[in-house]
Amino acid sequence: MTKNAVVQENSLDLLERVGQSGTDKAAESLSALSGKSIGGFFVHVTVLPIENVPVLMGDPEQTVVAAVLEATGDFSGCFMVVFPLQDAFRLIGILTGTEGKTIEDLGEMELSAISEVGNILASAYLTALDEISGILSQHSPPTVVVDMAAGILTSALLPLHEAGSDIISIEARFGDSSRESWGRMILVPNVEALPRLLKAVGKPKHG
Amino acid sequence: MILVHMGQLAISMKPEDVLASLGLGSCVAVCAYDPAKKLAGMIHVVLPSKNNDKPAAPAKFADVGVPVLVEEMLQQGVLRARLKIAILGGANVLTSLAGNTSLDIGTRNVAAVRAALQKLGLPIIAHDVGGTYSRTVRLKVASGEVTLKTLRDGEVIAAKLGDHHGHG
Repeated sequence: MTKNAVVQENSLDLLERVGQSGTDKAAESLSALSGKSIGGFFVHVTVLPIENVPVLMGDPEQTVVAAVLEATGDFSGCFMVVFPLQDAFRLIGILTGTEGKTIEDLGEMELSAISEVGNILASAYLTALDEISGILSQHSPPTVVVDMAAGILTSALLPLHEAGSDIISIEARFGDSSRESWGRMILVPNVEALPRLLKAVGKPKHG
Repeated sequence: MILVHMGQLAISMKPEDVLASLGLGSCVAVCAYDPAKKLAGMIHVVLPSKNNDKPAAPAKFADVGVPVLVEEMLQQGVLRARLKIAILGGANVLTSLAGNTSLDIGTRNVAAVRAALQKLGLPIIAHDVGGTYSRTVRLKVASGEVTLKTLRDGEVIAAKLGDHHGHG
């Protein structure tokens, strides 16, 4: 039996609702920020053993742009938004009108746009988590990192590795009428927080 | 190419093989090579030390993994005195979160690898550790050449473990 067996079907149901609602909230905030109509498309949510993390974005060496935040409160741990480089450029393009291509095009403005996206997405999904499961948490300002996917992901997750814990990954796309950007929101509960989190989402507020 | 994933150990004598650890953040790749036998070994260390009895991958922890790597190579007929070692990795990719010391595992991993090698009396002849960037490490079995790939500098030669350095 895998560790994932502890994630009951209804927990996944609830996590899906968190993913859906968080994506809607995020799209709304991104639209407000940019003054454009930005849609959010929730793809799916998965609970994964930590061993799968280096290949979570596909090629472990792939260049990604990540905003990493620390969450405190009922859900304590790490919240990460990760976009492959070209998806990050598309999202920046949607928000600012300027779309880069290579890593040299990631200037202060681009990184600050990703930082703002990190803020918005963390608030959106953590608010959704609170509304749906009653798990209330705050988050720190984001740190933006550009590097190989495996390096970033494992560095953020290793404090958990000792316990062989699981992580929650929400996939979503954000876009306007002409282009779309795909990314992953990764919730990394601290060792003590994951069982609490899964227990809480397994018990709906109004169930 | 033989991919050495987190916590794994690989040894090869096939000249066409390349041992590789991709996208190391705070993890450390320990490369070992015997120039005479052309035997190469690599471990992908994840954490400094094993603190419980739970079953774990052979090279997940520096304190357990380093001796296992050396022992496995000695069993293949390698002489300890001929082993050339290079260590790469142990970055602190999420620098601003490092105030949270539990996240600065890179530095602790490097220290633990160094301590384990010292305990075995094995000098490190090349290293590229620390910093804030991820690394891909490859070790060519045929030549003992170690390459380092980073986002900033692309792929460069980091060490030539196949050279005899006149001590043979």
